[in-house]
Amino acid sequence: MLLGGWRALRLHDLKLVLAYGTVSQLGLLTVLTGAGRHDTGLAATAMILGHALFKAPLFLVTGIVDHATGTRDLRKLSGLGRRLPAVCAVAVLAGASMAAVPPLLGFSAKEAAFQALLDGSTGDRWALAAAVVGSALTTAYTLRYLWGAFARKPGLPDTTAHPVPAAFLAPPAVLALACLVLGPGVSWLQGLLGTYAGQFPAPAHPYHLALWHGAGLALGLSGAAWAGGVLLFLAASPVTRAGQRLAWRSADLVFGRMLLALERTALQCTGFVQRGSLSVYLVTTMSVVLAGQIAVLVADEPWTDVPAPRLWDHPAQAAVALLTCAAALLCLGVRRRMKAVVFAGLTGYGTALLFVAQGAPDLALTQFCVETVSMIVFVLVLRRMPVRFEENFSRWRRLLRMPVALAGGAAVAVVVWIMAGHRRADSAGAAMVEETAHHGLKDVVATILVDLRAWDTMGESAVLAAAAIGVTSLIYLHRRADGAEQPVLPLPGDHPHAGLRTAWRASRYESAGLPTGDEGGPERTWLAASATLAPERRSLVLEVVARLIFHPVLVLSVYLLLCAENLPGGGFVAGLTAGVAFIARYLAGGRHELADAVPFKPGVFTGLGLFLSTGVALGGLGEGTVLHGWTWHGHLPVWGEAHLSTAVLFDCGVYLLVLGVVLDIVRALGARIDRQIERAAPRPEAGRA
Amino acid sequence: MTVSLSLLVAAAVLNAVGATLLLTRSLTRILLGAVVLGNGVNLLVLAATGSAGEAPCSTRTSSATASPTRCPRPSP
Repeated sequence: MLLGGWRALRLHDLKLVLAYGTVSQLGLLTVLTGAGRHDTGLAATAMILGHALFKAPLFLVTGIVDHATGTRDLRKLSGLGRRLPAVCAVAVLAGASMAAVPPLLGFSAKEAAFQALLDGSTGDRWALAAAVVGSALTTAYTLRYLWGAFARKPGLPDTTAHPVPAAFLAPPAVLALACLVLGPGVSWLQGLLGTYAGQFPAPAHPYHLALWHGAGLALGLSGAAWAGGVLLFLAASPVTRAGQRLAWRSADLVFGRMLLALERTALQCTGFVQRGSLSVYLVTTMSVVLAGQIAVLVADEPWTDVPAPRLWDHPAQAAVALLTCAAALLCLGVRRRMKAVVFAGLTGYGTALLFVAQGAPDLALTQFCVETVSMIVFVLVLRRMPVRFEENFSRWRRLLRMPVALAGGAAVAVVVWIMAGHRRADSAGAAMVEETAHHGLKDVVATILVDLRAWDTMGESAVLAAAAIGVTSLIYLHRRADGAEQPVLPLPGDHPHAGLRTAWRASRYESAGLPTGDEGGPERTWLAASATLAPERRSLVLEVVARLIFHPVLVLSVYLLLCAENLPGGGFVAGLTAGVAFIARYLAGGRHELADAVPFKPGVFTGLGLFLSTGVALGGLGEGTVLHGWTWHGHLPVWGEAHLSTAVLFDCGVYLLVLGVVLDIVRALGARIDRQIERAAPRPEAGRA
Repeated sequence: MTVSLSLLVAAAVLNAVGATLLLTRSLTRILLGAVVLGNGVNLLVLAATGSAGEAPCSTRTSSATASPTRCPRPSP
């Protein structure tokens, strides 16, 4: 409101004077509309109408002047009022309305605005003060406009102008006359303009639009505005000079500079923060999280009524915890990669033992299997890496990370202690046990996995399959299954039941007159490594043991799969166990042994497993809900009392899927790396871990 | 509900070691750090579950008389 008016006072283009005047008027309109009361709403609508009716003819008149004289520069125009009196009259009429001179519409609207703001709160009074100053500026730039367009200026020759046809002048004339007519007749507009104001709750004495409200404070303010405006206009040259001196920067320039500075700051910030070092990022993240935690802890002191922790549940628990800590600390200090992997694995086994001590055999079983498989995978990968770590970190890094890590460990432990101490809700365990017993089952965890929360299990299985396929595919960016992994020498009778390739091989060897079957086969074909591994890389004991325990472990895995309803077990553990059996074959006999043991692509297992479990889940739709389980109790001839459930089928899917994932990983990280090593080696030899 | 100090200390040590390993430069150590940190978090969850109990299997009672009191707390 003020800035627009102020800038209008030092511009030389008539159109720009009006345009900045519009900016000023929009400020006033925003104040009025934003006040959000009945009276201000009424004043705002009146002001909008008034503004439309005086600003439009003024712009049109500016266009006419431009057309007639060829310029809008008020420094070049002179004596136009004499030459174009009709145009001048229209402009004066509209301008008077803009300057809120009675009896025009602008006056009525401005009076309404002043009165509405006068009746308002303290904030409205401040707005009123600004509005009065704005009105003074309005008067000043109106006078500047009229003077600039039409007055005769000393030292300037009269501007020549074409005559203006009447039809050309008619539109602004009509609008200006409307200002004149609607000024006294503003009360007719009460109904139209009051519609918007009617949206607000009406005050006790609502304002009514009228030309004359008596000689009140509002009129006095209008008078002050006129006087101020005239003074400002008379002091035109000092005002213009002051304005130009104050306007030492244009907004464009300021904006451009700000943008440039912002960009530079952003670049410097990015360069400073994004150092490309993972540990710096991690330290930053952890420090922020820790600072937040510690701040909350210190401010809240939530530990006041938390019971002190008991020392242990059982002395064995403390002993295992101690050993686990020792393994972890040793893992920190060792220089050899393999040792570090073993110690990290030991922490996992320690965790599993703590699970056992806590009474969670299912978890412990899973943890043991996962830890075993992941340790083997680690070892398989680390074969290709240097034996020792490269110790090239500086002293300050060590100094920095130690306290951060220690604080992190301590903070999470304290938070868990406080959290558990504040726990009031009952454990969900009793309900779970009841639900399990209701189904006639015994193992609560397995029931949760395959029945109560089967959706979760299904989703996680799918994620596991996708992740394994993605990872193993990404490691080697070509086909996952490779025909070159065939055994060099085919093995007769290794798996009579195991697929086309073996059957084909067996028949070929039968036709060659070679004996089949384990008992009849010569030793060198019973152990594939005899033909594919160099003698110095073989361990006969390991090979034989792996070969002998292979089938028992597979049977154990099937047992774990089927016993899940009554004993710790389940598809996931069973799948991992079966995977371990195959891994043992691979470790003992190399990749050819593995290829012989699993004549299928691992993807077949994964896909079949996923298909089975989702199929069972979708089959439940037959009963109305996804994952509906059917159970059958009965008597089988040999088995005796039998209890079959679709949940077991679901678990079979999980079993196959996990087995497929393990095989996939062993193939990708074991067998494929073997082949890389063989290719890199001068003598083509089959590698072994 | 109280927690077991042994579990809590083991979890804190494992978490601290895991964090330290994560902050090193060697990628292998970072991976091992993730493994150790994972074990530490498992222990935290375990510590938050309450006191040790029997396995959540009602094997010692027949299924018909399986009572919730035999299985005070299933594992998390």
